[in-house]
Amino acid sequence: MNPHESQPPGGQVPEPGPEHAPTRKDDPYEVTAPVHEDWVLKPPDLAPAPAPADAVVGPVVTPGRVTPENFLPRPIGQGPAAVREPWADPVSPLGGPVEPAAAAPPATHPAAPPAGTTAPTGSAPTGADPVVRPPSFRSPGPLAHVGRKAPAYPAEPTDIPTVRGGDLYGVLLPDTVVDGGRFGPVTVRAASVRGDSHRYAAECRQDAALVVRAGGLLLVAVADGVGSQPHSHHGSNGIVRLLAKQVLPRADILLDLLRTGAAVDFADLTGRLVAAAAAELAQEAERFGHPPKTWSTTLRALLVPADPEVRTRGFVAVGDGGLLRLRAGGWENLDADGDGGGDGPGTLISTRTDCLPEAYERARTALITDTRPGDVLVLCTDGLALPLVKEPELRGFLGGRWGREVPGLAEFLWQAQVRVRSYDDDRSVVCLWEAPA
Amino acid sequence: MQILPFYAVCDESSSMTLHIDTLNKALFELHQEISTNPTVADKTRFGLIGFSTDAHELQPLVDLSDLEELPALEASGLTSYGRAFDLLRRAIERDVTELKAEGHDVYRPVVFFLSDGEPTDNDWEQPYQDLLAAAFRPHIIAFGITEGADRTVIAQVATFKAFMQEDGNADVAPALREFAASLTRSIVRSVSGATAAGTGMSLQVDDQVPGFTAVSLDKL
Repeated sequence: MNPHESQPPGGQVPEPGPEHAPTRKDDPYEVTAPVHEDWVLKPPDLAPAPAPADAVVGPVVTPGRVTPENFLPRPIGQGPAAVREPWADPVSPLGGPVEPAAAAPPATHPAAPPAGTTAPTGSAPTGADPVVRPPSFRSPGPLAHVGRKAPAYPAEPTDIPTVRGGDLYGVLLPDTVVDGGRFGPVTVRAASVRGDSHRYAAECRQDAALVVRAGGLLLVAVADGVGSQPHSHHGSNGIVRLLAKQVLPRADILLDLLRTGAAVDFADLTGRLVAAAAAELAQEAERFGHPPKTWSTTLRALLVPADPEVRTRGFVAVGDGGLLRLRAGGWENLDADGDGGGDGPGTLISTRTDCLPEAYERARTALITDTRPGDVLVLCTDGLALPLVKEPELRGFLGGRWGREVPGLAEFLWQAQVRVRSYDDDRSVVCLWEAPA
Repeated sequence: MQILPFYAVCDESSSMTLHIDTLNKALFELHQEISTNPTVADKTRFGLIGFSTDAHELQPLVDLSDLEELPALEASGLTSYGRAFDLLRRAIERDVTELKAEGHDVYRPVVFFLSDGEPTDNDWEQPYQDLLAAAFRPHIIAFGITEGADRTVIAQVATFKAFMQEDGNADVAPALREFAASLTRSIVRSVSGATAAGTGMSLQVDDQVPGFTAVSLDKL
């Protein structure tokens, strides 16, 4: 049965049955990676590969087992019958026969194809394209949720924001942005999505995300405008742009520092670049007639060399958010200081965070020196970092998908939007898939 | 989940007899607001404590979307603030500990304290201080119900905001409803400065509450 057929109108995903929402005391995704004081990260023990927690999206479909529910009509001469993904459309929206789904390939991520070549949509992967192309007419369907109850918010935006207080900048910020590309050994997917709370209040998105090439370096960044400040969407969008401005002319130097693993010099230089970007952000705020504090934002970024021989990635951050790694199906938290949650028996949630341009002492930096083929680095704002660190079901849901293959842009967006009750903040995430060996 | 424990602590002593229906209506509407405003509904758990000669948990902390109806208040007896604060402290400690043991992250609890400001016990300040000294000490917003409510006592109980009802017949419900929503939004928003300067009260809510006059806590 296609799960979407059973869904009520309005796009709500049905509540999972008890068998679909197991309570796991023994958490296979437990984040165990130590964070070393010198921020040069060492490989932790690997967690076992988990099964994807697909339960809330629909009934379990055993891969490879053809049943009346998941068997697709097979046009003559088009190869073997395919097993339908749980979320695949059963029939063409145009009423015609459905093309067979390509058999799920192993994770594929070879070197970039020669210029000008593209894999035909709907065909089985040729080995030239890391993205597993969905068969025609396959669509992700309504948003999924994990947990016992879906959020009480509507799953999609409702009221459209208006211009508030003459803020014509805010109206330039769409509800959602999605981005992606390939660079050297990595494939990039990025999304920045307005949270349920901002949608409900018809306020603009305060998060920002950036993907840009700087010579032989890839710069990806996310920023989270501080919710208590009225103009923080200026800050988040401004700081990623101004960081790029600082990085662009110094890409060669940064690349050398990554190549040689010069952690101290990297920390020193990126710290100064962040400070320079912050100073310019404060100046921009003042030109707007805004106190710089009202542009308060977090920032976190990764620098990735194009050279596949250089496996070191540079990380810099101010304030809360997440940097996690998905390796062989297990999650590792590479920035345990960044989650801001209320852990410990006597502690409550702290909503305080360091932020630019003013309320911070220094940027945190790290060199990630133990990158392996097939790793997925996940850089995100706390809108995703908090539920990812706290909710095992979410780690299962995303780990089962992102650990398998590189999704297309629309598919990635659908995955990144999986809903978790009580987490209603803007959510920005950049994923970097390292090419397999 | 990220959970904000939310307690209403209501005076149901005999001096509140004329106003108990108003309070019950306000609680009904607060329940409606909490269970239908998704910003509040998804993050809060709600508990109701009534106090008179003694204090009782009329509704232990619950996800309001799981609850059909709140218990009603009934006016009788004396006004023991000490019993109320003592029970509140124990309830918060138990609830937060349980929520954290279940794997949730918990915000600092919020208390709506509604009373005519005429305690009949003289030793209530010690249980009150014990509540504020606890690790999970709550934000307390105090509402003085009835025109003649003691402004000094209401302001003394509040840790964040205090409001006096302007007219004994004024509807309490809109004030509680609006305050619950704006307070929740404010509590869950991130604020600047984890390691730099700028600590202190960060909650930002409107001082304009319909039918109520804000009482400055600074003057006391």
